[in-house]
Amino acid sequence: MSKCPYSSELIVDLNTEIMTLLEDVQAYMKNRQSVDFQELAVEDRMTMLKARSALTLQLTSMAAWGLYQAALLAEDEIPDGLRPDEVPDTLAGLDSASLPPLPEIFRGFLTRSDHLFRKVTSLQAAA
Amino acid sequence: MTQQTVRQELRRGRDRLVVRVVAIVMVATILPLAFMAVLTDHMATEALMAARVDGLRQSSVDGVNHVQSFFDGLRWDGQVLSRIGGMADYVGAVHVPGKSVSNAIDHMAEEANGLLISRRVYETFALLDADGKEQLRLLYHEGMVERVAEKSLKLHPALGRNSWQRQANAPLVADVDFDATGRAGPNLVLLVPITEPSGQRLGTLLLSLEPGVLDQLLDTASESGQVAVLLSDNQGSVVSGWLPEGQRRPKDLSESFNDHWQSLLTREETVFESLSGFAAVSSPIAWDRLDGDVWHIIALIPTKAVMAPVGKLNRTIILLAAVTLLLSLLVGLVMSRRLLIDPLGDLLAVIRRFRDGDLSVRSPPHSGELGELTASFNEMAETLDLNNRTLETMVADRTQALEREVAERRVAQTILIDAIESMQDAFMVYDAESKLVLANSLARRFAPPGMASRMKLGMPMEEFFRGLAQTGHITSSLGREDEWVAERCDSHRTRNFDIEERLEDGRWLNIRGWRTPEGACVFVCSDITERKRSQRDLQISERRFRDLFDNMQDSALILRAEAAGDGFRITDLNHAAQVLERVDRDAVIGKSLDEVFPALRRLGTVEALSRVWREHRPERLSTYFYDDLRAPGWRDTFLFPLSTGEVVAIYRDVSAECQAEEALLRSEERYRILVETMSEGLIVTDPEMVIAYVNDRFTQLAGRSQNELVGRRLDEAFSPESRDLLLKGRDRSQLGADGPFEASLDAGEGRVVEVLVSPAPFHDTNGTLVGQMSVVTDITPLKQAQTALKDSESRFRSIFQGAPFGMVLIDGDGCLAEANRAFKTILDGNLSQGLKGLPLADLGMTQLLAALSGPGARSWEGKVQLPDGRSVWLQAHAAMVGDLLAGRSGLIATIEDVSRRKELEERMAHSSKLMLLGEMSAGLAHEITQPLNIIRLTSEATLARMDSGAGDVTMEESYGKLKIINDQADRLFDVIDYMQAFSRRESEKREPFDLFVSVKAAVALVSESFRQRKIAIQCEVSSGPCVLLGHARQLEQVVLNLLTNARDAITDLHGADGGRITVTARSENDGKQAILTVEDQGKGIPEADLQRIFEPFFSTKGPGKGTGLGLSISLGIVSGLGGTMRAEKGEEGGARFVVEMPMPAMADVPCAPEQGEPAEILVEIPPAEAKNFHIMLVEDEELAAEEMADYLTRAGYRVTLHFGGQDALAAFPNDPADLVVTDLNMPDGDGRMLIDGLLEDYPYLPIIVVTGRPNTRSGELEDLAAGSDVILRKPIRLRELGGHIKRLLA
Repeated sequence: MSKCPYSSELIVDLNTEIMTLLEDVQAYMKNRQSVDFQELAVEDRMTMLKARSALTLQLTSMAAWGLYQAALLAEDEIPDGLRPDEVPDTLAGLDSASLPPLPEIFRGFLTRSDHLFRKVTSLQAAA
Repeated sequence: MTQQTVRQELRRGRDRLVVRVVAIVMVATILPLAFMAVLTDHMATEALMAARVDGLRQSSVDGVNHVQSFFDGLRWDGQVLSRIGGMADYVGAVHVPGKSVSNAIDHMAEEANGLLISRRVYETFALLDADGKEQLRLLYHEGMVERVAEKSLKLHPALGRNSWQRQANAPLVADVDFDATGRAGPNLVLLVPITEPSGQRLGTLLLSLEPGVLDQLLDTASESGQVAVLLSDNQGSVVSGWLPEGQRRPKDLSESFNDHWQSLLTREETVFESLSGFAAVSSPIAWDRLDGDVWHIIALIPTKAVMAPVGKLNRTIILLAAVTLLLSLLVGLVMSRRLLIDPLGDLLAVIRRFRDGDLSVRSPPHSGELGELTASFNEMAETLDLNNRTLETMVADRTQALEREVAERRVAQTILIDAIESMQDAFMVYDAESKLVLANSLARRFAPPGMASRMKLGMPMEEFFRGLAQTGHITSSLGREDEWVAERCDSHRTRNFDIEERLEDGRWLNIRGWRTPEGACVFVCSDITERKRSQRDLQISERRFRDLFDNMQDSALILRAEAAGDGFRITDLNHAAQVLERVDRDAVIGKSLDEVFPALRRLGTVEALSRVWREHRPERLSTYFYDDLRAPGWRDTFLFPLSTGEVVAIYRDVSAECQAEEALLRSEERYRILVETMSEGLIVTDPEMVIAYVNDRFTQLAGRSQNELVGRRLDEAFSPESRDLLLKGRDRSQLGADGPFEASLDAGEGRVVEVLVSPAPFHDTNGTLVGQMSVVTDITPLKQAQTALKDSESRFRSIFQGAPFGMVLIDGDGCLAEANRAFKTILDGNLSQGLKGLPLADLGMTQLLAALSGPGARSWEGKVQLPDGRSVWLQAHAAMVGDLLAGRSGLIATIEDVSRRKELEERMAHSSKLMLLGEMSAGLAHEITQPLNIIRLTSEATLARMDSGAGDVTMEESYGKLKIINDQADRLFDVIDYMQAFSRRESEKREPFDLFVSVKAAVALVSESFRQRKIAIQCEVSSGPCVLLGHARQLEQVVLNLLTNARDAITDLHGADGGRITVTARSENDGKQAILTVEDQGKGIPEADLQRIFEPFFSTKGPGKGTGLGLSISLGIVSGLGGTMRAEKGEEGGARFVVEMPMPAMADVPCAPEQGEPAEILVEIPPAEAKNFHIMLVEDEELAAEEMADYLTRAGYRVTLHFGGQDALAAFPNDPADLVVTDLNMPDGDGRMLIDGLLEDYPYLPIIVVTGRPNTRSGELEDLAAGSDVILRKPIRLRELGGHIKRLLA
């Protein structure tokens, strides 16, 4: 079993940040998105849905990676199967410049997720 | 017997003899002296007895006085008398003559009952009637009160009789048999008379003492125990008496006493002689008896027992005593010589020989005391002789033993010296004089070189130390030899010591010394160099350990077991432990572990410590949370035993690690909850696309449970059409080109859910695909909306293009996004190409856009100048749209060309105004006629006086007349100016005006004509300005319209009788709203017409009366001011029109245009200042020109006059003027041409325009006179002209 190359404090902070953003995104989807959705043109709604889907995917992927590192730290038994050593950049296809005028708060989520992804990739590179 | 004993016996015998001689002498002397002393003592005793008799006498007097006081007390006992007196008064008060006093007696009996019980001293209470017959008797016997029947009573006959004569309340002594026992004895009786208020005697109360009371009193009188108390009658017979020792012998006393009664009273000495044993008598006291006799109490003092007669001193006895004394002395001396002194001298001589060493000498025997002494001496001498011989033998034996002891000591000394020599330490002994008496050879080895040879016995201690100091052998003495030597000598001489000294060669010495009781000083000196080295190494080792201990990262606690390992006490702890546990080392060392860390026992740590201590095996404890309030946290602890028997606890705070682990667990939980509850479906598949996990949302979308989905291939959950997409998506994922794609989810029962699938592959470190996570988003509603939008958009576009009025879509930037055909028609088609994206501002529609984009109603109506120069009136309405502009906010607006309608309305409004002017003509004619009439009359009168040549018209009168004409001319011009203003078309520029002024002006215009029709206008206008923004003339037009309608209504109803119109104007809501009402006394407006009267061409007047546009135009004007207008029924049945208009905030009201500077204008021009200025005056009206030229010339200016513009322009270069005054309308070159010509060459030339042109539209006159400095409208005032000229030239 490989060992986690990061400190527990680092992983805890990172996981907390990822979870918080994931919770924020889910809360937005449940409480606010429908309102913002109505103000978008129909053709832009699909763009937003794609962006939202990519955002969720990236956050859950990063969370899975973070939990995997946490499990390594805790020296837990990890069954064979998913051992995500890398996190896919699901937001890579989104060009923020070409995106329609998405809600400001949603753009904030994208930015925060992108920062987290950069942090994860830099950690991976450092390891 | 030893010699000493013999001496002591002799000394004792001698002393006894001396004592006997002295005793004989003293007996002979003391006997007479003792006799004399007895006499003296007798005399003293006599004096004492006399004093005692006096005391007894006084005591007897006190006793008798006490008895007397008792009787006096009885006699005057306040309480008894009060109670008894009260009862007597009561009986007297209730007595009815001739009847029994039984009731009163009963009452008194009750009182008496209480009295007897309370006092206790009275035995009997009796009540006697007026005849002395006893009616009632109460007896007090053994604490009870007994009532005795009156029949059985027996009273002393004398009581009844005497009771009348005796003084009330006086006590009597009588022999009364009160208790009816037949035994009468002396007793004390109180008699109290009972009388009526009239003084008639009704009866008597009787109170008697107990028989024993009298005895008790007499006992009291003789309380000393030695006083005799007698009770005698008046004849001197002793009735009773009390003698000392308690003997009562009245009879014996009476025999001797009665005979001397009279003497007793007068001669006490006689009594002494007759009554042997009684030496004194106190003063007698007496009291009355019932039978008239008097009894006396006499106290006698017994003297027989206490004072025997002594007689006089007997001289014979004294003489006999003296003779006895002398004889005794003489006999004593003779007997002493023969019996004692001579034998004693012989004995003393023998004793002296014995004392001088003749132990064999003995004394011959003697008789008596001396014989015993001699025998004792001889016996003692024999004993001493024997003892002497025994002692000599003992001395010889003792001498031999001492010689043996000395030999043994010498052997021991030799052994001791050998032992000292063989010691490992140097050994030295100094005697009490600090001189060396002993030193072993090792002592010299410690001495410095050269010093050892000098170490000999007898060497002083100071010399030894000085030698050490001078040689520098002892390092501590360096530089302070004298001081060091003194310290050492003083230290070593006075006390024990134990010091360490370092030698110059590096060795260390330990010198111990102590003082013996004899004052000697013993030194033991040891080489401790090795020990010091070991100590130093140990200290270094300890220091290293301490540094390590204190600087180690982990906390360390050293504990000592106590109570058989059941408890531990802290012996040490390091710095890390102090910091972690927040304790001070000094404060906790030595304390119990339970006291400092109370939670450890509960956590099992103490038990583990005990285990380690007992089994001597290290142990690592499981991580535990130490919940002490001082430093709570997780601890990781390792325990191990020390060889010293202590136990060490090494531990560290692992709270951070524990918290991190806890946080990780929380993250997992959060992730699980998030995934389970997220709004999107989540699928995790393995590399073979087999589903490993789906969340709840995906099961909802797929319409299947987790069990149905997990373990199946992912593509099986999707519709057949989407499976290829999924496989391609998987391929893309494997290639790393993953991205969201749309797919159809087979939700079962023929239901299809449109979803967006976003896959994300996971690779391991080798780049191998280990799985895939996909987010599935439901896009079914969106797809449906897209379809609906397409349909809606198609319908909208059809309506948009086919609308008969202009329709445009305006984006958020104010640009045209779309325009229909009708709008293009408004633009006349020239700009219809490329309208999309064109800013509305470029179409001259800036105001339109601002109005539609602003808050509130998105409607606007106004004139727009199109790019081709045409002005059109447009009416627009708009609404916000979003979707139509690709999700961005924008406007959809209808725009209609209403130029034709506006033109029509304007014409009609102007026509209406002119009609109003016609309506006002009568009033206006009056306003014009009046000043003209005054002008004419004044001027004719003045001319007539001048024409008559009377020459009596003074300058003052002429000035006054001309002033009147001038003022009336001003009034006339004001009327004309108003007519011009009213009749002209209003400009579009809104200006502030006062509503109240406008209302008053309108009322003034028509009031005259209305008055002629007997219609009064009651105008109620508030004070103060009420500023509105708009056109004052338009508002006046509204008022005039309403007044005209009111007039017509009154005329229709009342004909020539006329009526009243009430006009009110006021501001409300703190100056935010202006209210105007006009109410008439006409027949009012029918209810059905109230909604229609504001429609154009609607009129309730008859044919030919009105156009039906007045109210419509008025409503338009009021709406233009932002107000409302309504009609309602008036209070008097007529119509009432209410106009409500908003008042602008003062900040929004522009300042009124400057009208010049009146203060300067009215200043006369001083000729001295004006003469240097040339003014060109251009005016085609000759008379006016000449008047102005004359005025300016007289003001001092040089004036050149021209009658046309061409002429003036030609002349100017030849004679340039400093200022030009010109008319505008002139046949020979107008003013405009002149101004342009002059300013071309003289751009700074001041020009004043004087014109008769009305100010038709705002800005029109200013355009004509552009370039001029001042515009004056005719008729002008010369002073005003002069003021402007002066200001411009200045």
